[in-house]
Amino acid sequence: MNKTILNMDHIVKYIFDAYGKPIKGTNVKILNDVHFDVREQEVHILIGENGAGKSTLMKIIGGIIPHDEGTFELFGQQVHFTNPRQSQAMGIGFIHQELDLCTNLDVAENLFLGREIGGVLADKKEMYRRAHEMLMQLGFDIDPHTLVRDLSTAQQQIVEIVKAISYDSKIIIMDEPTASLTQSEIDHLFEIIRSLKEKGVSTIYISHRFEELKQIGDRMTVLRDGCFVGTMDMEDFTYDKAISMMVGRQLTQMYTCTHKPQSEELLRVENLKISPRTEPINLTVRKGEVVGLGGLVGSGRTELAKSIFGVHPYYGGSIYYKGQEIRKPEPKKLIDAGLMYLTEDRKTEGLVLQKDIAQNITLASLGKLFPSTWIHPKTEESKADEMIERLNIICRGARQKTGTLSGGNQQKVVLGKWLSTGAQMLILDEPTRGVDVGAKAEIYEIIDQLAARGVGILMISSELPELIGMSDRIYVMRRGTISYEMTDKTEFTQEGILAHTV
Amino acid sequence: MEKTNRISAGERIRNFVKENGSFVIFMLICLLASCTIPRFASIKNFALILKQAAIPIIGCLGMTCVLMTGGIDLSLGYMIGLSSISIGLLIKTYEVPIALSICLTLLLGAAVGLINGLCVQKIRVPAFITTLGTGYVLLGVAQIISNGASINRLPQAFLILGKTKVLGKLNTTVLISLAFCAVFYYLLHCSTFGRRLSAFGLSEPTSRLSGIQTSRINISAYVICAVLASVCGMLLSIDVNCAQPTMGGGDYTFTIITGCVLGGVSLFGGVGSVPGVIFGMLTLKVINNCINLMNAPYYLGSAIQGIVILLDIILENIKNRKL
Amino acid sequence: MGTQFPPFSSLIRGLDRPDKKERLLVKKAKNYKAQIGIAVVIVALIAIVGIRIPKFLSLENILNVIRQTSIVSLVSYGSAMVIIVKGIDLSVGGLIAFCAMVSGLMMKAGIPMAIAIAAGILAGAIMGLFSGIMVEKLEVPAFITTLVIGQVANGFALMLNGGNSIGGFSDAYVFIGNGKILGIPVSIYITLFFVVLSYLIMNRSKLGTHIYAYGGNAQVVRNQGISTAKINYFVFTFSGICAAVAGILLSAQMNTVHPAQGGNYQLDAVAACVIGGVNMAGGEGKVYNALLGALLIGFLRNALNLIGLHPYYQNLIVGVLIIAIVAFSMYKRHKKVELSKVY
Repeated sequence: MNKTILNMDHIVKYIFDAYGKPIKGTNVKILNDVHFDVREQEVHILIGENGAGKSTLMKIIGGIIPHDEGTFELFGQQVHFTNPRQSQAMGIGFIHQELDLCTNLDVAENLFLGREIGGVLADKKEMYRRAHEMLMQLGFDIDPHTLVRDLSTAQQQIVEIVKAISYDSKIIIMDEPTASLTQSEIDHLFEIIRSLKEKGVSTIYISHRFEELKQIGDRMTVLRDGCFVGTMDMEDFTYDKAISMMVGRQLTQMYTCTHKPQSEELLRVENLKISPRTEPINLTVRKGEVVGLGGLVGSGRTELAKSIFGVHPYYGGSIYYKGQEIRKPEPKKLIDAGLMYLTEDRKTEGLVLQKDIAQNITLASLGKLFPSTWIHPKTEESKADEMIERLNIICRGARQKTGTLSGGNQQKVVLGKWLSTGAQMLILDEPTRGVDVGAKAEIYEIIDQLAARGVGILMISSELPELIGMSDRIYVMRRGTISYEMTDKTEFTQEGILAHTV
Repeated sequence: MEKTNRISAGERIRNFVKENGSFVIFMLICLLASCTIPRFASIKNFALILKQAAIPIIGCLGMTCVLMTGGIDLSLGYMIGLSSISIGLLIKTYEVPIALSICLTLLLGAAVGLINGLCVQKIRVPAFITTLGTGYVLLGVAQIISNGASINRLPQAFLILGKTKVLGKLNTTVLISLAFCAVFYYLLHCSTFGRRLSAFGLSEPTSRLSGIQTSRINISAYVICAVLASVCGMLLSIDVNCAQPTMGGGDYTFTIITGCVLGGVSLFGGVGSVPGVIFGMLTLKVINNCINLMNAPYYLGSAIQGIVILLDIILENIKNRKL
Repeated sequence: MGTQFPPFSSLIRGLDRPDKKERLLVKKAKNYKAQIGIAVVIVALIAIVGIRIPKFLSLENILNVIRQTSIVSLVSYGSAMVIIVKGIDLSVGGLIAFCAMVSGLMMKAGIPMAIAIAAGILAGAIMGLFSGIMVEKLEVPAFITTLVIGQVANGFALMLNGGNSIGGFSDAYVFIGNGKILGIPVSIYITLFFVVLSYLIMNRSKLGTHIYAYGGNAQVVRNQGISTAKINYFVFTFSGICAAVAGILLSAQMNTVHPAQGGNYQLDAVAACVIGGVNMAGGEGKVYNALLGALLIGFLRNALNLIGLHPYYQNLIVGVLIIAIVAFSMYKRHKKVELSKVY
């Protein structure tokens, strides 16, 4: 068995702010007593659902945020990184999904950025020569004079890998590297990873593409809800085992389900493609029905919602609402017809944080509420009060700025905006993300009440228990299209859903 | 709805200053001037200041709309020049009826604003580049159609629109300005348009996803600004009884921007207040007035203006950081 | 540097490409696409106008135009750098007036010319640095910062001499503006000096690479531990220096310092950069291309003059050119982004 070069034990990370510091007054743990170790010359796969804590763990290893508790030992030394350069200096190379390159510079300039050769005047000739040498030695025939933006994604990744190796990285973290690669490029990447392994460089490989994992991995660690579930040798890997490790949690009873779906169809999507390269999507939502839409991050759920709502292009296919085709979807048109979209990111797309509750709640219905264009403050406030009461928004009043509310209450304000505009079909994108437990239960109740009154709901969620508890039917998305539809409630299992997301 | 805890007097004052900064600054400067300059505190002088501030304030109203979208209109001063010479040509040279001439000049403003708006919204050229370019185009056009010459002695029927005496010391121009202020107070503070404009400036994604037609709002801001610039051009021509292609210009644009910034309008968009810019511009004109009364050289004004806006921007930024 | 890897024959995978030699030539040609394009336009312009008006082609005229253009081209080098880091410098007009006034007043007061000029340049550098600090530390957008600084500088130019011009400088000063060495105007030497300097900075020094990188992706630069403050301070200070030199040169050419001489130079500077292919979106464009852009505008203005078209048309055309070119490049960029939306 190879030597362990990275060892993390009992790692705890509390929920953090933009600077990586724990947010005061909360005890929410993003990582709870996590163990993770990497050996010499291995490819170690890391899997887990959305929000399991994978990227947080990697950020700690990469030095982007510090860990709050626990031990982190690297090459025999105790470390506690506070900035990425420390991690880089100790031999960790991080290849992010959004590549860390300047696309307007060429390959050599990117490779040497920050450590250019020469005195006051740079020695360009030497730089290109060395870059060429580096690339050739690793077996890549990329001209160092090429501008990065002219390279394919696979080639850009190679540049990043070369950069990491040139910094003497002994462990390279790759975050979803195969997301935009063709099969032959994936094969090439795997060859590179294997040869790196031979030469003493380990790889931490984050991915949920199960079919690739067995090809490339030596061991696999599973995280779930911020906790360490276990590590297995890839020889023992099976789909079922991995999925049950990812999922195995109890279903809490906080979901209300008193509504009954009607038979009348409200929204229908036919053969819609969210990008030229993906498969067509077919989906329906009926009146009074709660339809769940599951899938991992990047599977296209938000893109689908935005395509329906008219703020994302789609390629081919049609959208039908209340039986009529919507040719050119546009937010205003759809809102007027009763179709509304509660966005994933409430801070930048759902609320105007600098404005108060009343102003946010009326934002989508200004024309309807104030046909004379005169905004009556009292009308606005009473609408807001109505929503505050109905949704139990905890605040100092209708004139409190939304930026000062808690996450759960902010989400309720956004909900209030759509409810007060008379929603008949609601697309909810992660409605309970970042919301505390109490508010979550209240939101579930509201969703149920809406469905009971005939509102159709398409609920995008990464939380499997939520999907199972609230939905009448579940669609699962994968790689830009629907991979499976579950109509029978007995089919609703976490393992079952997850199996179709990978 | 519960009341918040009792606020201390100090905090009350701080809140008031924050909310009504431009008014406070204005009062402070007037106070200072009254105490140090003997001829400042007279009705005649105040009337003079009001008359001088009346026209630029109209320009500020338009610029505020554009600033609230997060953009800027650097062509405003040159639009003033173009509209000035246009109204002169229409009324005096081509003898078009006054009412029609005014309409045509306003339409011209609308057309220019439309071009600005389309470039910024549809083609996504940054506002400062677009309006920088259109500004010089307007300057060129103004000079070409007039051959560089001004038109003097405009018809009396046109002049009375602005010069008729009101309340002894004021004139109709001030009334017109007041009317615009009232209209824009409503527009920006009480109407759905103002709400949408402000939301757009603060968070374009949220506005778009809430069904606001962001494209229309953005373009209309530029149209409004150019039309108001057109009004300024006409009123200025009445004021000096001369239609000039060089009326306004880059310096005038800068004065307007300074007035807006002093009036609390945020350069990042979303925040703007009509009373704010009124007092902002009044403050600038008071400063100019003081310079005159003290017999200080005229150019001091432009230097001080520049420093004033510099200080304001710096202080604004420091304040934002502190919070 | 780095771990030594023996070559892996199993991994050498060639990308489909033509013969290496050919590729290099084609690549070189592509790099100079912008220069070639502008040069072609200039030559075409000269040819078309020259046929109509022979005077246009006279050596005297051409040298004169180049001499006059040197002002704009000087300013455009600094502006180009600022645009590359996604900013803009609208203060150049004011600085041209202010810095010339500073050195002019000093010369009139009897201070040796060399020191007076140095002082003027220093003044420009300080104003530029101030802009850079406001942009970096206070995060005020560049266009408003430089707009304001420009106005302040203009105001100072008026104030320093009570709104009056200064005239009648020493012969040495006039020589700088109008003299010739080896048949070529001194102004051109000065311009060339700055072109070479800009080239060395942007294309041959580490700082240049950092500037381009910062304009391309600021986050990457920060991640590498490179100080973004230094980059911002430098580009704005350099722009200030360029404007100062331009102003002093302009006064030398006119043998006058006029407080309003700053005029609309920022317009021509931006136009020169834009025509020279410096992209408003940042991160791209060769600074010395701004020279070609400035030449193009210079010859264009001269040609319009000689044809008999009123100067009024010139601003108009330049304005339209700017908008057209920027709009076109923005449009192209949009198309590219949409097409590259890989899922």
